[in-house]
Amino acid sequence: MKTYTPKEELLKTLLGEDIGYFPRTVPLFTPVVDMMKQTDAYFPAANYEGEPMARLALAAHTLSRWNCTMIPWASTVEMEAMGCRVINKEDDIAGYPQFKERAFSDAYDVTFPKDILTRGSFPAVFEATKIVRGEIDSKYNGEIPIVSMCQGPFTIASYIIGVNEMFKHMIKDKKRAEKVLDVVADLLILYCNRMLESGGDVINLADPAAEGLTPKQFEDLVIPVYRKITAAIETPRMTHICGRTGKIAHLLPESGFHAFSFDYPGVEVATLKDAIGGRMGIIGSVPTVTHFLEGSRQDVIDMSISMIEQGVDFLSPSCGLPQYTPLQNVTAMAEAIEEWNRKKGVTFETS
Amino acid sequence: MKVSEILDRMAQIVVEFDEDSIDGVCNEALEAGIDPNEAILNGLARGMNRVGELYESQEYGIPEVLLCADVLNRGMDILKPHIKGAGDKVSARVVIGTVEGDIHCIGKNIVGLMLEVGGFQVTDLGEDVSPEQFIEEIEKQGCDILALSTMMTTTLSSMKNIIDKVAHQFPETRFLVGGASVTPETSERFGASGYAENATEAVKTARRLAGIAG
Repeated sequence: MKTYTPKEELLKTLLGEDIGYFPRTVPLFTPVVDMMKQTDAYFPAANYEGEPMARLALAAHTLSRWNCTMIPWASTVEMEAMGCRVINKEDDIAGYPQFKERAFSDAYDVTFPKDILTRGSFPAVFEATKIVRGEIDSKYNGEIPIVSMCQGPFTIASYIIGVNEMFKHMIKDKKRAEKVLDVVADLLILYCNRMLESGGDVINLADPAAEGLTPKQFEDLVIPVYRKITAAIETPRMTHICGRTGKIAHLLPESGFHAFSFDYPGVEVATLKDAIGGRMGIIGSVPTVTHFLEGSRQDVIDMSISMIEQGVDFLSPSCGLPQYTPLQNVTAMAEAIEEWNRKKGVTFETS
Repeated sequence: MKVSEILDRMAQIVVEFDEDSIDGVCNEALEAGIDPNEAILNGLARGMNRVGELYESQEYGIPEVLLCADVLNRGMDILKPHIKGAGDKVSARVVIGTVEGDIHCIGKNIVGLMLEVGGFQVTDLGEDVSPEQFIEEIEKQGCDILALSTMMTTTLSSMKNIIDKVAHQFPETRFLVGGASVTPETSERFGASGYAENATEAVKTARRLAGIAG
């Protein structure tokens, strides 16, 4: 059986090609404390400085065996660059940056300067991506893909003008909602393309706040923005939305994303297969809390195999890993994929 | 108009987030001599419970829930000043907040609102609340039930930290937990007294923790 490099597995499978076996790439990675200790790269520095960010990102491949990495991980990158107040606790090695205050009090004021990509932790993201790209090219023959992660337009919009305000605009003042979503879309186009130029291979756009919308609100106001963003990105791209997405899933094939990363048990594989099967890839979904954090290594393996049997196109955690997830539970996902492919008689020339 | 018709309309106005009609129906209820507590429970709260059902079935999203909550709050502003004495106030005191590191508040706000509507004395400390802030409030005002919310998996450890520290100092405190990343197993592992998946369940569980029937 012909086998591919992990990067080829990711790209081909995202674009709908059947590679003949289960891809070894796990395209949603966030670091855990065990990795921070082994790479001497801790928060908050690893969320703001290129070098520790790169060291931790490489742990996705070297320590978790996920044959993939993802940069960055904090959900505050874009909102902070747009002017939201974000704080970090210097003595908390595992604490993500925390949103404190919105940037704009009115949607019509939302804008960004020409030098936006020099703001906040954007430069660190680009630097880390370049470093990781260099390491992968020199040490791993370029075979490990880099997933460039961003937050989605609805989520960013919610934080920069206020979560309650944005949600209410979706009913009471759609023009304001459209305005801020449009500006954020322009930002994301610039940001995503710069990450790709820095060495990213694909885009993963996570829009958790969108789960709070009805299908009509999602279709009318968010899908058009997704289309605008995806039309301006040439590489394969996936989207992740947490929670109960069963009722909006059927709208996603219109979004321009190639695959949907879901959050089990918020939605079942079977529901997604009915809604989008054949038109988009399905990525997921071993629960982060009940399995990765609170479960055993075997729990992760069993759920991973179950997901593969149900027909997902890639495995991933259901969302960002809790920071204190034991490393053995992280590698368990890689073990499950290896076990599955081994039973199918697949042997790899390189790993 | 009969009492039941007024209360039905009040509930419907909440469900329809009809901010133009809430003042009128609440004043009508008062003029009709309806006990304000009854109006809150069987008018406003009944409507909000229906909103909760619509949200669970995903016919309503968060935009609708927020607007309904605004209408309910407006109704409470009109009716509460007319409550005489303790009314149906529950003696149990609830302190509620989103845990340190997390700023999600919508679900927590609805739970706080429904607990208040349900007769509990509620102090909402807001979001990103540290163990020390909870402890300070409990020292000042006392607390029977500490209700904690977190949406994110990355702040679950904060919830545990708060429970440990508060329990150490105030071992009689009962802990009620919830939020998108919280499971019944998490609740048990953290030593919480109760878990609730939504606002309606939160009120039921709080009543159980407070030893109140029904």
